[in-house]
Amino acid sequence: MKQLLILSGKGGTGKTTIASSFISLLKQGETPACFADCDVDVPNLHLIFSDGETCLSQSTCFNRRAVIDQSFCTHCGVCEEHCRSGAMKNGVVNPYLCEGCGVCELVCPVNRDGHKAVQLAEINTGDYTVSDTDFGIFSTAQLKSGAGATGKTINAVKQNLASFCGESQVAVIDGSPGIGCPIISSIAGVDLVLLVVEPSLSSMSDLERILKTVRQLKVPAVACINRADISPELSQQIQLYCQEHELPILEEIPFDPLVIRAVNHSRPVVDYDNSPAAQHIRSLFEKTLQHLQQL
Amino acid sequence: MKIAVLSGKGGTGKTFVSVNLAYIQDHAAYVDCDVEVPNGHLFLPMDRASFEPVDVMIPSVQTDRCNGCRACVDFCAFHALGYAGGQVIVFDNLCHNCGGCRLLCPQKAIIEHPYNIGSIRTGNFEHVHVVSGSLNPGQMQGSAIIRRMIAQTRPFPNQILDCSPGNSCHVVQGILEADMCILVTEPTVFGANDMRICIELLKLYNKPFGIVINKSLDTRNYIKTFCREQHIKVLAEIPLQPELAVLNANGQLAAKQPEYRRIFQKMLKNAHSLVAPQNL
Repeated sequence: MKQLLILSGKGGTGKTTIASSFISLLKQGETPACFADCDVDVPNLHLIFSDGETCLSQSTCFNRRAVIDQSFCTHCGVCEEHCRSGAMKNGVVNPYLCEGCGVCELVCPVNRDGHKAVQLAEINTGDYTVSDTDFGIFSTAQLKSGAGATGKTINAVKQNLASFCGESQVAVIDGSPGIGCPIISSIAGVDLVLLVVEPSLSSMSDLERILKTVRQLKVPAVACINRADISPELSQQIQLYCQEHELPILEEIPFDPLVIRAVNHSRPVVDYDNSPAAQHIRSLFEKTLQHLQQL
Repeated sequence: MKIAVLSGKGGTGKTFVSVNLAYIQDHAAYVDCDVEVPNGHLFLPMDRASFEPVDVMIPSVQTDRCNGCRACVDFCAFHALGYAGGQVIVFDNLCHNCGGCRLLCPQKAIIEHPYNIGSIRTGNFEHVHVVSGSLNPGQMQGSAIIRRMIAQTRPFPNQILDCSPGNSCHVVQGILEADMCILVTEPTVFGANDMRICIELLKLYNKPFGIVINKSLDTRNYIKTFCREQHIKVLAEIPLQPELAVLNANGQLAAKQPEYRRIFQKMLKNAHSLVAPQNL
Protein backbone atom coordinates (compact mmCIF):
# COMPACT_ATOMS: atom_id res chain seq x y z
CA MET A 1 0.00 0.00 0.00
CA LYS A 2 1.25 3.48 -0.92
CA GLN A 3 0.48 6.28 1.50
CA LEU A 4 -0.23 9.85 0.37
CA LEU A 5 -0.23 12.58 3.04
CA ILE A 6 -1.75 16.01 2.40
CA LEU A 7 -0.16 18.93 4.27
CA SER A 8 0.13 22.69 3.98
CA GLY A 9 1.83 24.40 6.93
CA LYS A 10 -0.82 27.13 6.92
CA GLY A 11 -4.37 26.17 7.81
CA GLY A 12 -7.38 26.61 5.58
CA THR A 13 -5.58 26.29 2.24
CA GLY A 14 -7.75 23.34 1.14
CA LYS A 15 -6.22 20.14 2.52
CA THR A 16 -9.55 18.53 3.42
CA THR A 17 -11.21 19.69 0.17
CA ILE A 18 -8.50 17.94 -1.83
CA ALA A 19 -8.30 14.89 0.45
CA SER A 20 -12.08 14.34 0.28
CA SER A 21 -12.08 14.68 -3.49
CA PHE A 22 -9.24 12.16 -3.83
CA ILE A 23 -11.11 9.69 -1.62
CA SER A 24 -14.23 10.07 -3.75
CA LEU A 25 -12.21 9.60 -6.96
CA LEU A 26 -10.47 6.51 -5.59
CA LYS A 27 -13.85 4.97 -4.89
CA GLN A 28 -14.68 5.27 -8.58
CA GLY A 29 -11.53 3.31 -9.44
CA GLU A 30 -10.90 -0.41 -9.30
CA THR A 31 -9.60 -0.75 -5.75
CA PRO A 32 -11.34 0.61 -2.69
CA ALA A 33 -9.74 3.56 -0.93
CA CYS A 34 -8.63 3.66 2.61
CA PHE A 35 -8.14 6.95 4.39
CA ALA A 36 -7.27 8.55 7.69
CA ASP A 37 -7.74 11.90 9.40
CA CYS A 38 -4.52 12.88 11.16
CA ASP A 39 -5.87 16.34 12.10
CA VAL A 40 -6.97 14.80 15.40
CA ASP A 41 -7.28 18.15 17.21
CA VAL A 42 -10.10 19.26 14.93
CA PRO A 43 -10.94 16.40 12.54
CA ASN A 44 -13.33 17.11 9.66
CA LEU A 45 -13.25 14.15 7.24
CA HIS A 46 -15.92 12.30 9.25
CA LEU A 47 -18.34 15.10 8.40
CA ILE A 48 -18.16 14.02 4.74
CA PHE A 49 -17.69 10.26 4.90
CA SER A 50 -20.08 8.88 7.47
CA ASP A 51 -22.50 7.38 4.88
CA GLY A 52 -23.09 3.67 5.24
CA GLU A 53 -20.69 3.58 8.14
CA THR A 54 -20.19 0.44 10.19
CA CYS A 55 -17.74 0.49 13.03
CA LEU A 56 -14.92 -2.03 12.72
CA SER A 57 -12.96 -1.14 15.81
CA GLN A 58 -13.12 1.33 18.63
CA SER A 59 -10.49 1.81 21.30
CA THR A 60 -9.61 4.35 23.92
CA CYS A 61 -6.71 6.79 23.68
CA PHE A 62 -4.68 6.87 26.85
CA ASN A 63 -2.12 9.45 27.80
CA ARG A 64 -0.06 9.64 30.96
CA ARG A 65 -0.82 12.64 33.15
CA ALA A 66 0.15 13.61 36.70
CA VAL A 67 -2.54 13.15 39.33
CA ILE A 68 -2.24 14.45 42.89
CA ASP A 69 -3.78 12.55 45.79
CA GLN A 70 -4.94 15.47 47.88
CA SER A 71 -5.57 13.20 50.89
CA PHE A 72 -1.88 13.14 51.69
CA CYS A 73 -0.22 15.84 49.55
CA THR A 74 1.54 18.25 51.90
CA HIS A 75 1.72 21.10 49.35
CA CYS A 76 5.48 21.30 49.83
CA GLY A 77 5.86 22.72 46.30
CA VAL A 78 8.80 20.51 45.25
CA CYS A 79 6.95 19.20 42.16
CA GLU A 80 6.03 22.74 41.09
CA GLU A 81 9.68 23.76 41.42
CA HIS A 82 10.83 20.93 39.12
CA CYS A 83 8.00 20.92 36.54
CA ARG A 84 9.29 22.58 33.38
CA SER A 85 5.95 22.48 31.56
CA GLY A 86 4.31 24.93 33.95
CA ALA A 87 1.62 22.33 34.61
CA MET A 88 1.77 22.47 38.43
CA LYS A 89 0.35 25.43 40.23
CA ASN A 90 -0.45 25.63 43.95
CA GLY A 91 -0.80 21.89 44.30
CA VAL A 92 -3.12 21.50 41.29
CA VAL A 93 -2.21 19.84 37.97
CA ASN A 94 -3.28 21.45 34.72
CA PRO A 95 -3.80 18.29 32.65
CA TYR A 96 -3.68 20.31 29.41
CA LEU A 97 -0.15 21.51 30.08
CA CYS A 98 1.12 18.27 31.66
CA GLU A 99 3.27 16.28 29.22
CA GLY A 100 3.40 13.13 31.36
CA CYS A 101 7.18 13.20 31.85
CA GLY A 102 7.02 11.88 35.42
CA VAL A 103 9.45 14.34 37.03
CA CYS A 104 6.86 15.32 39.66
CA GLU A 105 6.46 11.72 40.75
CA LEU A 106 10.24 11.33 40.81
CA VAL A 107 10.85 14.30 43.12
CA CYS A 108 7.77 13.99 45.36
CA PRO A 109 9.07 13.45 48.93
CA VAL A 110 5.72 12.26 50.31
CA ASN A 111 5.35 8.50 50.26
CA ARG A 112 2.48 6.47 51.72
CA ASP A 113 2.54 2.68 51.44
CA GLY A 114 4.80 2.88 48.41
CA HIS A 115 2.67 5.53 46.66
CA LYS A 116 3.81 9.08 46.01
CA ALA A 117 1.37 11.94 46.62
CA VAL A 118 1.72 12.80 42.94
CA GLN A 119 1.75 9.95 40.45
CA LEU A 120 1.32 9.41 36.77
CA ALA A 121 -1.93 7.82 35.72
CA GLU A 122 -3.27 6.68 32.37
CA ILE A 123 -6.00 9.16 31.52
CA ASN A 124 -8.66 8.53 28.89
CA THR A 125 -8.18 11.28 26.31
CA GLY A 126 -10.61 10.15 23.62
CA ASP A 127 -11.45 7.39 21.16
CA TYR A 128 -9.89 5.89 18.08
CA THR A 129 -12.32 4.52 15.52
CA VAL A 130 -11.92 2.53 12.34
CA SER A 131 -15.03 2.21 10.22
CA ASP A 132 -16.13 0.73 6.94
CA THR A 133 -17.80 3.48 4.90
CA ASP A 134 -19.30 3.64 1.41
CA PHE A 135 -15.95 5.11 0.36
CA GLY A 136 -13.63 2.59 2.01
CA ILE A 137 -11.89 1.99 5.32
CA PHE A 138 -11.65 5.12 7.47
CA SER A 139 -9.42 5.60 10.52
CA THR A 140 -9.78 8.63 12.79
CA ALA A 141 -9.71 9.77 16.40
CA GLN A 142 -11.98 12.01 18.43
CA LEU A 143 -10.05 13.53 21.30
CA LYS A 144 -11.55 15.08 24.37
CA SER A 145 -11.38 18.84 24.42
CA GLY A 146 -7.88 20.11 25.16
CA ALA A 147 -6.33 16.64 25.12
CA GLY A 148 -4.07 17.81 22.32
CA ALA A 149 -2.71 15.78 19.44
CA THR A 150 0.43 13.88 20.29
CA GLY A 151 2.77 11.78 18.22
CA LYS A 152 1.30 8.76 19.95
CA THR A 153 -2.27 9.50 18.83
CA ILE A 154 -1.19 10.15 15.24
CA ASN A 155 0.83 6.92 15.13
CA ALA A 156 -2.15 4.97 16.43
CA VAL A 157 -4.49 6.42 13.76
CA LYS A 158 -2.02 5.39 11.05
CA GLN A 159 -1.41 1.94 12.51
CA ASN A 160 -5.15 1.34 12.79
CA LEU A 161 -5.50 2.21 9.13
CA ALA A 162 -2.67 -0.13 8.13
CA SER A 163 -4.13 -3.05 10.03
CA PHE A 164 -7.55 -2.78 8.34
CA CYS A 165 -6.69 -1.60 4.85
CA GLY A 166 -6.54 -5.05 3.26
CA GLU A 167 -6.33 -4.92 -0.53
CA SER A 168 -6.24 -1.13 -0.84
CA GLN A 169 -3.37 0.13 -2.90
CA VAL A 170 -3.56 3.76 -1.97
CA ALA A 171 -4.15 5.41 1.39
CA VAL A 172 -5.07 9.10 1.57
CA ILE A 173 -4.15 10.82 4.83
CA ASP A 174 -5.40 14.30 5.72
CA GLY A 175 -2.86 16.18 7.86
CA SER A 176 -3.05 19.12 10.22
CA PRO A 177 -1.61 22.63 9.94
CA GLY A 178 1.78 23.47 11.49
CA ILE A 179 5.20 21.81 11.36
CA GLY A 180 5.68 20.39 14.88
CA CYS A 181 5.19 17.08 16.65
CA PRO A 182 1.85 15.92 15.14
CA ILE A 183 3.03 16.76 11.62
CA ILE A 184 6.39 15.04 12.02
CA SER A 185 4.56 11.95 13.28
CA SER A 186 2.17 12.06 10.32
CA ILE A 187 5.07 12.30 7.84
CA ALA A 188 6.95 9.32 9.28
CA GLY A 189 6.54 6.34 6.97
CA VAL A 190 4.42 7.90 4.20
CA ASP A 191 5.47 7.55 0.54
CA LEU A 192 4.56 10.99 -0.79
CA VAL A 193 3.52 14.37 0.63
CA LEU A 194 1.23 16.67 -1.36
CA LEU A 195 1.61 20.30 -0.22
CA VAL A 196 -1.37 22.60 -0.76
CA VAL A 197 -0.30 26.23 -1.19
CA GLU A 198 -2.39 29.33 -1.86
CA PRO A 199 -1.15 32.59 -3.32
CA SER A 200 -0.72 34.60 -0.11
CA LEU A 201 2.45 35.76 1.64
CA SER A 202 1.44 33.74 4.72
CA SER A 203 0.98 30.50 2.81
CA MET A 204 4.26 31.01 0.94
CA SER A 205 6.16 31.62 4.16
CA ASP A 206 4.63 28.47 5.64
CA LEU A 207 5.46 26.47 2.50
CA GLU A 208 9.13 27.18 3.12
CA ARG A 209 8.87 25.84 6.68
CA ILE A 210 6.84 22.72 5.86
CA LEU A 211 9.09 21.88 2.90
CA LYS A 212 12.18 22.06 5.15
CA THR A 213 10.45 19.75 7.62
CA VAL A 214 9.45 17.22 4.93
CA ARG A 215 12.92 17.31 3.36
CA GLN A 216 14.62 16.69 6.71
CA LEU A 217 12.59 13.50 6.96
CA LYS A 218 13.62 12.59 3.39
CA VAL A 219 10.10 12.02 2.08
CA PRO A 220 9.38 13.05 -1.54
CA ALA A 221 6.99 15.96 -1.99
CA VAL A 222 4.87 17.51 -4.73
CA ALA A 223 2.69 20.63 -4.57
CA CYS A 224 -0.41 22.27 -5.97
CA ILE A 225 -1.57 25.88 -5.87
CA ASN A 226 -5.15 26.30 -4.69
CA ARG A 227 -7.20 29.39 -5.66
CA ALA A 228 -4.29 30.24 -7.97
CA ASP A 229 -6.19 32.91 -9.93
CA ILE A 230 -6.82 35.04 -6.80
CA SER A 231 -3.32 36.45 -7.26
CA PRO A 232 -1.57 35.48 -10.52
CA GLU A 233 1.52 37.47 -9.40
CA LEU A 234 1.95 35.52 -6.18
CA SER A 235 1.18 32.24 -7.98
CA GLN A 236 4.02 33.09 -10.36
CA GLN A 237 6.31 33.66 -7.35
CA ILE A 238 5.31 30.26 -5.94
CA GLN A 239 6.16 28.67 -9.29
CA LEU A 240 9.61 30.26 -9.21
CA TYR A 241 10.22 29.25 -5.61
CA CYS A 242 9.22 25.65 -6.36
CA GLN A 243 11.42 25.53 -9.46
CA GLU A 244 14.40 26.66 -7.39
CA HIS A 245 13.67 24.05 -4.76
CA GLU A 246 12.87 21.25 -7.21
CA LEU A 247 9.36 20.86 -5.91
CA PRO A 248 7.05 19.84 -8.80
CA ILE A 249 3.78 21.80 -8.99
CA LEU A 250 1.29 19.32 -10.39
CA GLU A 251 -1.70 21.62 -10.82
CA GLU A 252 -3.11 25.11 -10.34
CA ILE A 253 -6.68 25.01 -9.06
CA PRO A 254 -8.87 28.09 -9.66
CA PHE A 255 -11.05 29.77 -7.03
CA ASP A 256 -14.53 28.31 -7.21
CA PRO A 257 -17.51 29.30 -5.01
CA LEU A 258 -18.88 25.77 -5.46
CA VAL A 259 -16.16 24.54 -3.09
CA ILE A 260 -17.81 26.34 -0.17
CA ARG A 261 -21.20 24.98 -1.22
CA ALA A 262 -19.78 21.44 -1.40
CA VAL A 263 -18.31 21.76 2.12
CA ASN A 264 -21.64 23.02 3.45
CA HIS A 265 -23.46 20.06 1.92
CA SER A 266 -20.80 17.71 3.33
CA ARG A 267 -19.87 16.50 -0.13
CA PRO A 268 -16.54 16.32 -1.96
CA VAL A 269 -16.38 19.05 -4.60
CA VAL A 270 -15.62 16.49 -7.37
CA ASP A 271 -19.26 15.39 -7.02
CA TYR A 272 -20.19 18.62 -8.83
CA ASP A 273 -19.72 18.07 -12.56
CA ASN A 274 -19.90 21.75 -13.46
CA SER A 275 -17.29 22.89 -10.93
CA PRO A 276 -14.14 24.38 -12.51
CA ALA A 277 -12.12 23.50 -9.39
CA ALA A 278 -13.28 19.87 -9.62
CA GLN A 279 -11.88 19.51 -13.15
CA HIS A 280 -8.46 20.60 -11.98
CA ILE A 281 -8.62 18.42 -8.86
CA ARG A 282 -9.35 15.41 -11.11
CA SER A 283 -6.27 16.21 -13.14
CA LEU A 284 -4.26 16.70 -9.92
CA PHE A 285 -5.48 13.30 -8.74
CA GLU A 286 -4.28 11.55 -11.91
CA LYS A 287 -0.87 13.21 -11.77
CA THR A 288 -0.45 12.51 -8.05
CA LEU A 289 -1.30 8.84 -8.56
CA GLN A 290 1.25 8.62 -11.36
CA HIS A 291 3.88 10.10 -9.04
CA LEU A 292 2.94 7.72 -6.29
CA GLN A 293 3.12 4.68 -8.58
CA GLN A 294 6.55 5.65 -9.89
CA LEU A 295 8.00 5.70 -6.37
CA MET B 1 -6.73 43.89 28.34
CA LYS B 2 -5.10 40.67 27.13
CA ILE B 3 -7.01 38.97 24.32
CA ALA B 4 -6.20 35.47 23.00
CA VAL B 5 -7.34 34.90 19.42
CA LEU B 6 -8.21 31.28 18.58
CA SER B 7 -10.18 29.35 15.99
CA GLY B 8 -10.02 25.57 16.04
CA LYS B 9 -9.96 25.36 12.25
CA GLY B 10 -6.93 26.80 10.47
CA GLY B 11 -7.16 29.61 7.96
CA THR B 12 -10.29 31.25 9.36
CA GLY B 13 -8.47 34.55 9.91
CA LYS B 14 -6.83 34.53 13.37
CA THR B 15 -3.77 36.44 12.21
CA PHE B 16 -5.91 38.78 10.12
CA VAL B 17 -8.03 39.68 13.19
CA SER B 18 -5.02 39.77 15.55
CA VAL B 19 -2.75 42.11 13.62
CA ASN B 20 -5.58 44.53 12.90
CA LEU B 21 -6.79 44.53 16.51
CA ALA B 22 -3.24 45.29 17.67
CA TYR B 23 -2.88 48.05 15.08
CA ILE B 24 -6.02 50.01 16.05
CA GLN B 25 -4.85 50.30 19.68
CA ASP B 26 -2.47 53.04 20.81
CA HIS B 27 -0.18 50.87 22.88
CA ALA B 28 -0.66 47.19 22.30
CA ALA B 29 1.71 44.26 22.08
CA TYR B 30 1.11 41.70 19.36
CA VAL B 31 2.42 38.26 20.41
CA ASP B 32 2.59 35.59 17.69
CA CYS B 33 2.11 32.32 19.59
CA ASP B 34 1.72 30.28 16.37
CA VAL B 35 5.41 29.41 16.59
CA GLU B 36 5.21 26.55 14.08
CA VAL B 37 4.05 28.81 11.26
CA PRO B 38 4.22 32.44 12.46
CA ASN B 39 2.83 34.97 9.98
CA GLY B 40 2.03 38.13 11.98
CA HIS B 41 5.45 39.61 11.16
CA LEU B 42 4.48 39.70 7.48
CA PHE B 43 1.76 42.23 8.36
CA LEU B 44 3.72 44.01 11.10
CA PRO B 45 7.31 44.03 9.82
CA MET B 46 9.66 45.16 12.58
CA ASP B 47 12.30 47.87 12.44
CA ARG B 48 15.63 46.67 13.79
CA ALA B 49 14.17 43.62 15.50
CA SER B 50 16.18 42.13 18.32
CA PHE B 51 16.85 38.44 17.93
CA GLU B 52 16.99 36.05 20.83
CA PRO B 53 17.70 32.34 20.37
CA VAL B 54 15.57 30.03 22.49
CA ASP B 55 17.45 27.09 23.92
CA VAL B 56 16.16 24.25 26.06
CA MET B 57 18.29 22.06 28.27
CA ILE B 58 18.83 18.55 26.97
CA PRO B 59 20.92 15.75 28.46
CA SER B 60 24.28 14.39 27.51
CA VAL B 61 25.82 11.38 29.19
CA GLN B 62 29.36 11.35 30.59
CA THR B 63 30.40 7.91 29.45
CA ASP B 64 33.17 7.56 32.05
CA ARG B 65 30.60 7.82 34.83
CA CYS B 66 27.76 5.81 33.25
CA ASN B 67 27.57 2.22 34.49
CA GLY B 68 24.91 1.16 31.98
CA CYS B 69 22.06 0.72 34.49
CA ARG B 70 19.58 2.14 31.94
CA ALA B 71 17.38 3.75 34.60
CA CYS B 72 17.24 6.89 32.43
CA VAL B 73 16.19 4.91 29.34
CA ASP B 74 13.37 3.26 31.28
CA PHE B 75 12.25 6.58 32.78
CA CYS B 76 12.10 8.66 29.58
CA ALA B 77 8.43 8.92 28.58
CA PHE B 78 9.34 10.25 25.14
CA HIS B 79 11.77 7.53 24.01
CA ALA B 80 14.47 10.15 23.64
CA LEU B 81 17.06 7.90 25.26
CA GLY B 82 18.25 4.56 23.95
CA TYR B 83 20.96 2.11 24.87
CA ALA B 84 23.17 0.58 22.20
CA GLY B 85 26.79 -0.43 21.86
CA GLY B 86 27.34 -0.19 25.59
CA GLN B 87 26.27 3.44 25.87
CA VAL B 88 23.26 5.72 26.25
CA ILE B 89 22.22 7.51 23.06
CA VAL B 90 20.27 10.78 23.20
CA PHE B 91 17.80 11.53 20.38
CA ASP B 92 17.94 15.32 20.68
CA ASN B 93 14.75 16.23 18.87
CA LEU B 94 12.58 13.71 20.74
CA CYS B 95 13.64 15.15 24.13
CA HIS B 96 10.94 17.14 25.94
CA ASN B 97 13.59 18.65 28.23
CA CYS B 98 11.85 17.61 31.41
CA GLY B 99 15.19 17.08 33.19
CA GLY B 100 14.06 13.80 34.74
CA CYS B 101 17.01 11.69 33.55
CA ARG B 102 19.55 14.01 35.18
CA LEU B 103 17.63 14.02 38.48
CA LEU B 104 17.28 10.26 38.40
CA CYS B 105 20.76 9.04 37.40
CA PRO B 106 22.29 7.22 40.38
CA GLN B 107 25.81 7.80 38.97
CA LYS B 108 25.30 11.53 38.36
CA ALA B 109 26.49 10.77 34.85
CA ILE B 110 24.01 13.06 33.09
CA ILE B 111 24.65 16.74 32.55
CA GLU B 112 22.52 19.17 30.59
CA HIS B 113 23.54 21.50 27.82
CA PRO B 114 21.64 24.14 25.87
CA TYR B 115 20.02 23.03 22.62
CA ASN B 116 18.57 25.55 20.19
CA ILE B 117 14.95 24.96 19.15
CA GLY B 118 13.98 28.35 17.77
CA SER B 119 14.03 32.08 18.38
CA ILE B 120 12.08 35.15 19.42
CA ARG B 121 12.20 38.41 17.47
CA THR B 122 11.06 41.57 19.20
CA GLY B 123 10.64 45.02 17.73
CA ASN B 124 8.18 47.71 16.73
CA PHE B 125 5.96 48.27 13.75
CA GLU B 126 4.83 51.92 13.90
CA HIS B 127 3.16 52.09 17.36
CA VAL B 128 2.72 48.29 17.80
CA HIS B 129 5.14 46.28 19.94
CA VAL B 130 5.70 43.02 18.07
CA VAL B 131 6.91 39.73 19.57
CA SER B 132 7.24 36.81 17.20
CA GLY B 133 8.33 33.30 18.12
CA SER B 134 9.61 30.76 15.63
CA LEU B 135 10.26 27.04 16.00
CA ASN B 136 13.05 25.62 13.82
CA PRO B 137 11.73 23.22 11.17
CA GLY B 138 12.32 19.62 12.28
CA GLN B 139 11.83 20.45 15.98
CA MET B 140 8.88 18.88 17.77
CA GLN B 141 8.09 21.16 20.69
CA GLY B 142 7.44 24.89 20.59
CA SER B 143 5.92 25.21 24.06
CA ALA B 144 9.13 26.57 25.62
CA ILE B 145 9.18 29.44 23.10
CA ILE B 146 5.57 30.39 23.90
CA ARG B 147 6.27 30.21 27.65
CA ARG B 148 9.24 32.55 27.29
CA MET B 149 7.35 35.06 25.10
CA ILE B 150 4.41 35.17 27.48
CA ALA B 151 6.69 35.70 30.49
CA GLN B 152 8.61 38.48 28.73
CA THR B 153 5.53 40.37 27.56
CA ARG B 154 3.62 39.99 30.84
CA PRO B 155 4.12 43.68 31.86
CA PHE B 156 2.23 44.92 28.77
CA PRO B 157 -1.35 45.65 29.85
CA ASN B 158 -2.78 45.48 26.32
CA GLN B 159 -1.94 42.36 24.35
CA ILE B 160 -3.17 40.36 21.43
CA LEU B 161 -2.05 36.72 21.64
CA ASP B 162 -2.33 35.19 18.17
CA CYS B 163 -2.64 31.44 18.87
CA SER B 164 -2.21 28.38 16.68
CA PRO B 165 -5.15 26.41 15.25
CA GLY B 166 -6.41 23.27 16.98
CA ASN B 167 -6.69 22.96 20.74
CA SER B 168 -3.27 21.75 21.82
CA CYS B 169 -1.21 22.85 24.81
CA HIS B 170 0.02 25.78 22.70
CA VAL B 171 -3.49 27.18 22.59
CA VAL B 172 -4.02 26.49 26.31
CA GLN B 173 -0.97 28.62 27.16
CA GLY B 174 -2.59 31.58 25.37
CA ILE B 175 -5.98 31.03 27.00
CA LEU B 176 -4.47 30.89 30.51
CA GLU B 177 -2.73 34.23 30.03
CA ALA B 178 -5.72 36.04 28.51
CA ASP B 179 -8.47 38.10 30.14
CA MET B 180 -10.81 37.12 27.34
CA CYS B 181 -10.74 35.12 24.12
CA ILE B 182 -11.91 35.80 20.60
CA LEU B 183 -12.85 32.77 18.52
CA VAL B 184 -12.60 33.45 14.80
CA THR B 185 -14.78 31.22 12.67
CA GLU B 186 -16.16 31.03 9.15
CA PRO B 187 -19.69 30.05 8.16
CA THR B 188 -18.88 26.58 6.82
CA VAL B 189 -19.67 23.16 8.27
CA PHE B 190 -15.95 22.74 9.07
CA GLY B 191 -15.66 26.17 10.68
CA ALA B 192 -18.72 25.52 12.87
CA ASN B 193 -17.57 22.04 13.91
CA ASP B 194 -14.11 23.23 14.93
CA MET B 195 -15.57 26.27 16.70
CA ARG B 196 -17.73 23.99 18.87
CA ILE B 197 -14.64 21.96 19.84
CA CYS B 198 -12.86 25.17 20.80
CA ILE B 199 -15.85 26.42 22.82
CA GLU B 200 -15.73 23.25 24.95
CA LEU B 201 -12.10 24.01 25.70
CA LEU B 202 -12.85 27.63 26.62
CA LYS B 203 -15.67 26.58 28.94
CA LEU B 204 -13.20 24.43 30.91
CA TYR B 205 -11.27 27.59 31.71
CA ASN B 206 -14.23 29.80 32.46
CA LYS B 207 -12.88 32.63 30.33
CA PRO B 208 -15.20 35.20 28.80
CA PHE B 209 -15.24 34.79 25.03
CA GLY B 210 -16.98 36.03 21.91
CA ILE B 211 -17.18 34.98 18.27
CA VAL B 212 -15.99 36.75 15.15
CA ILE B 213 -17.60 35.48 11.95
CA ASN B 214 -15.12 35.99 9.14
CA LYS B 215 -15.81 35.56 5.41
CA SER B 216 -19.48 36.03 6.16
CA LEU B 217 -21.64 35.34 3.13
CA ASP B 218 -25.15 36.25 4.08
CA THR B 219 -27.12 37.57 7.00
CA ARG B 220 -28.78 34.27 7.97
CA ASN B 221 -25.96 31.88 8.71
CA TYR B 222 -26.24 29.05 11.21
CA ILE B 223 -23.26 30.22 13.25
CA LYS B 224 -25.38 33.19 14.29
CA THR B 225 -28.29 30.93 15.14
CA PHE B 226 -25.98 28.70 17.19
CA CYS B 227 -24.56 31.70 19.07
CA ARG B 228 -28.03 33.06 19.80
CA GLU B 229 -29.18 29.69 21.17
CA GLN B 230 -26.04 29.28 23.29
CA HIS B 231 -26.05 32.92 24.46
CA ILE B 232 -22.65 33.57 22.93
CA LYS B 233 -21.88 37.10 21.84
CA VAL B 234 -21.01 37.70 18.18
CA LEU B 235 -18.41 40.47 18.43
CA ALA B 236 -18.25 41.27 14.73
CA GLU B 237 -18.97 39.97 11.28
CA ILE B 238 -16.46 40.49 8.50
CA PRO B 239 -17.90 40.17 5.00
CA LEU B 240 -16.42 37.85 2.36
CA GLN B 241 -14.94 40.48 0.04
CA PRO B 242 -12.39 40.01 -2.71
CA GLU B 243 -10.74 43.30 -1.72
CA LEU B 244 -10.13 42.07 1.83
CA ALA B 245 -8.80 38.75 0.54
CA VAL B 246 -6.30 40.54 -1.71
CA LEU B 247 -5.17 42.94 1.06
CA ASN B 248 -4.66 40.00 3.39
CA ALA B 249 -2.88 37.85 0.82
CA ASN B 250 -0.40 40.67 0.27
CA GLY B 251 0.32 41.27 3.94
CA GLN B 252 -1.52 44.61 4.10
CA LEU B 253 -3.39 45.89 7.16
CA ALA B 254 -7.10 46.27 6.42
CA ALA B 255 -7.47 48.61 9.45
CA LYS B 256 -5.50 51.29 7.60
CA GLN B 257 -8.72 51.88 5.65
CA PRO B 258 -11.49 53.69 7.57
CA GLU B 259 -14.36 51.39 6.52
CA TYR B 260 -12.54 48.28 7.81
CA ARG B 261 -11.04 50.07 10.82
CA ARG B 262 -14.59 50.60 12.06
CA ILE B 263 -15.24 46.83 12.07
CA PHE B 264 -12.21 46.21 14.30
CA GLN B 265 -13.05 49.13 16.60
CA LYS B 266 -16.51 47.73 17.14
CA MET B 267 -15.01 44.24 17.72
CA LEU B 268 -12.64 45.61 20.37
CA LYS B 269 -15.39 47.58 22.09
CA ASN B 270 -17.63 44.50 22.19
CA ALA B 271 -14.73 42.41 23.52
CA HIS B 272 -14.17 44.91 26.35
CA SER B 273 -17.85 44.85 27.25
CA LEU B 274 -17.62 41.09 27.94
CA VAL B 275 -15.03 41.54 30.68
CA ALA B 276 -16.12 43.01 33.98
CA PRO B 277 -13.87 45.97 34.91
CA GLN B 278 -12.87 44.43 38.25
CA ASN B 279 -11.29 41.49 36.40
CA LEU B 280 -8.87 43.69 34.47
